[in-house]
Amino acid sequence: MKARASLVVLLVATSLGGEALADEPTAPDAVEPASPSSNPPPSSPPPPAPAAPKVEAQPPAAGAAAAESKSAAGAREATADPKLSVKPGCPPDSTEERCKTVVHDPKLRFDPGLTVYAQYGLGLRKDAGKTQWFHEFELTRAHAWLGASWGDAHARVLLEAVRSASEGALLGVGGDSFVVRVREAYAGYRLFRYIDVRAGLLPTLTIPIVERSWGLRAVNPSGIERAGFGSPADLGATIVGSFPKGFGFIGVGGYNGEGYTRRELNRGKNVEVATEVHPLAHIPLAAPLSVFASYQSGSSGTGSAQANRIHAGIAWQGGLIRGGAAFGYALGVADKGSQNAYEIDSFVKVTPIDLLVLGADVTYWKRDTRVATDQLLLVTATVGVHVVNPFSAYFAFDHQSLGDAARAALPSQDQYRFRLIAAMELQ
Amino acid sequence: MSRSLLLIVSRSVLALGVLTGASCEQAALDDRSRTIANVLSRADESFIRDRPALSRDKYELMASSRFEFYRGSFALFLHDAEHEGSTTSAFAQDGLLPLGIGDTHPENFGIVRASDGSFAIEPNDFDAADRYPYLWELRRLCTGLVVAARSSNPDDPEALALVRAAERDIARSAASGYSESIALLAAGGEKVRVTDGGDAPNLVDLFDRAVRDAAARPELDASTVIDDATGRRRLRRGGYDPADPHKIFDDLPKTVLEALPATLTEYRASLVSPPQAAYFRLLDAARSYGSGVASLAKIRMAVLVEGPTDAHDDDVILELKELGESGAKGWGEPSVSADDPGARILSSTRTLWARPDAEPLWGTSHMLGLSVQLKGDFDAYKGLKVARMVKSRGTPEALETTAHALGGLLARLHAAGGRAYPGTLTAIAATIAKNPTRFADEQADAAVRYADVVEGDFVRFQRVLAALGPRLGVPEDAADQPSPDVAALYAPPKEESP
Repeated sequence: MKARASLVVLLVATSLGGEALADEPTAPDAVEPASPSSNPPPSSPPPPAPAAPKVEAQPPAAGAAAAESKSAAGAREATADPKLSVKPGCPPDSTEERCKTVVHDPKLRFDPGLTVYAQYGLGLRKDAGKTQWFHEFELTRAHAWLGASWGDAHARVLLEAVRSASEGALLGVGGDSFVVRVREAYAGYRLFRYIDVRAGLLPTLTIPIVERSWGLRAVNPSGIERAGFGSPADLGATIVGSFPKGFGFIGVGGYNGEGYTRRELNRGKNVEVATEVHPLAHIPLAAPLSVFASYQSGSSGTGSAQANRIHAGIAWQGGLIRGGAAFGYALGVADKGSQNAYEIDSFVKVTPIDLLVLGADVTYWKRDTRVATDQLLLVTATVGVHVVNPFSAYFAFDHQSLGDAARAALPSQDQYRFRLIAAMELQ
Repeated sequence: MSRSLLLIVSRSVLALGVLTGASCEQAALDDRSRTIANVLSRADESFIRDRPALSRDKYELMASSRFEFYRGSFALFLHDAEHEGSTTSAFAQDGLLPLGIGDTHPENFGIVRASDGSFAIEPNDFDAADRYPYLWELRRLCTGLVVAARSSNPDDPEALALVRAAERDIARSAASGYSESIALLAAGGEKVRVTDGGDAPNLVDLFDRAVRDAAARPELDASTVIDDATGRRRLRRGGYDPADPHKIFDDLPKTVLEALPATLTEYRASLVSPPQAAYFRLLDAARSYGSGVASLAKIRMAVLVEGPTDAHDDDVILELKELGESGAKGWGEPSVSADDPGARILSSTRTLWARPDAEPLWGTSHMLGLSVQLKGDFDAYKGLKVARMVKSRGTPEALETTAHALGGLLARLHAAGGRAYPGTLTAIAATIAKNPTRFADEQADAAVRYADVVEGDFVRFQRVLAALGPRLGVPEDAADQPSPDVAALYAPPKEESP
């Protein structure tokens, strides 16, 4: 456990220097850095992350020189420690999380984790020409998971708390209690050095890339998720191959296509192909640059309505600054195969000092490309404080404006929202 | 090399097609048909899975006529309002969300009798009651009237042609009735309880028949008998309505019969002015089949109770019905949607009716954990029926006057349902007052346009049923089998009607 803690410190320090290591696609069963909001959520994409850019080469960020120095030394120590056992499938000099976490381990290893996002929200809107307000405490995320690995075999179960009824539904459990459901439950195996195969209820490939690129999941889910263009998890299987030397990954997934909250309703299976590339991974200063793209061929419902998705984006996944833009185009939405929609999500997160986080997110969502006024613009600005690892607090301001057609279809939406968010990620 | 590559690519594409493609049956469906299948199967998925036979009956009924299809497809209406722009309007305004009955098609209005014995026309189905944008409910009503008009006079092509030529006027009349009443109510006018049919032949017909049957109590003869052995009245079993072979009473499981007294006790406590406990002494109960369209698959029971005295002639039949979700998305701040179904129903009836005891036996309860509604089941409670829109009741003028009255009634509901949300009535009135003529024209055009969509959807729905079967494509799963106790309630009737 102590070894794990020191490894966490190492990773945090490293991340401040350029975050190339921490920003690598992280296997969900790997230990994640302790700075919760700046790192991949537990449902990060599945690719294993071999051979990250050399941490020693990362230039330290302002105010993080000491940590950087320590982290680099730590990394060197880690590989030089005679007590280290090299895990099967791991090269001796690998900085991959999976490989490092087996340091003092025999074969079986567990990786538990917990994420809780709680918030107080005050919403304002115009109802019947008058300003109405409503405020409530919410639990936007409560995840608990346990990963286990045995050699190259690994598995994970992730539970989440969710309201037992949703969207105005009345019939929940015990009123509308929070209940626990399974969001991920998969088994996987790492083949050779670069390929990871998983099957079960598992994270899909695209959404985690965007979430990781912004690094402020505590504040908002991705635009893709908010627009209903995809589900973060589904029943199926994925094969992910990592490019050498931290250049990214390419993956293919086959899913039921109904997400993780519904049962399969048709014979068609969704196929997702996704890739994230760090084209300049070999240049330390530019390694955080990421481009990603994915395509999903899918269908939904018993009528097998077309539900294809194209996503592309560019991001800078640095330690001081993270940000980028993602574009999603949906061919077939809302159970209508011929209706197209798109969303553009741009986001930025700045960590000027260790303690402080500034973030913004602007999402433009066109619900129907044929209707001129069927759109929403969602703007979020946030300021956060890393109170003490792994606890952070944020203040967020949201503004939402709707076109006429969207307003007719989505009545009584909050125009302004103020939120106080408490986030804890214990891993 | 290139040929091999081409082969690999083509095989991959083929494999992708197999993975993502639809079955042959699904492939025959057009885009809208797939939407219909998806939306209805999602809305009914739990019913399809655990009571497939009853769901099948519902879909067969929906496929039998365009108006039954309209009645059973409220989920599709809501979907189109959210995703098809069917409610786009120059008169839409954010936040105008009065409490309403939601599914405002014409057959959800009918006669009820208040505690003082007076009759009135009120909404008689609150399954979907919730907060909705005011225009959605008005358009649901206007479209329903156009669909009803197209379904009127089935045996009289000339009369039907006249009505079809006037269908826009019929819808416009409802919108005008609505806007006129909204203006009056916003100006401080009193809410009007509709206690006579006025100049609307269809409403006059309702009152005439209600008064006639209130005294005769024909439902007792039709659906009950006096048991020779016990000397007590009991419900018949099997088919009891020669005019409707789908109406069937069947035995209830013992567990349900044992639970009913407690259900009745809780129900009695929910009434505005509860009669004596002896009124609800249980005489008999039966599983009831064949009522409703959207709610056809829901559990219904006929519950025979003692009534005001021990005499046979004043025994009372109650209808017990399973409650479910409204279908609304909980727009606006939490209100009725944040409570339980029974509370939603009680709150809606007492808010929306002109008087809280408009139907004094309308209450709610629980039965074996199920949220249920009970109400008086009297033949005098005549509902507006499209099937009776014939002859003098099926003329354009008759339908226009009926539409006008229903539009006015809906305005009264919105005035009452908006009271908890200050400013709603005033804002609706102000929005319409910008141009009442254009408002009525817009609603009329939208109603005819959406009625055309319904017309097409009706045909498509039949194709969906043919292609995907009565489960609408929802796969069978042995795990969906209910427990034996519940299965007895979910099962279709044991006896077919004679």
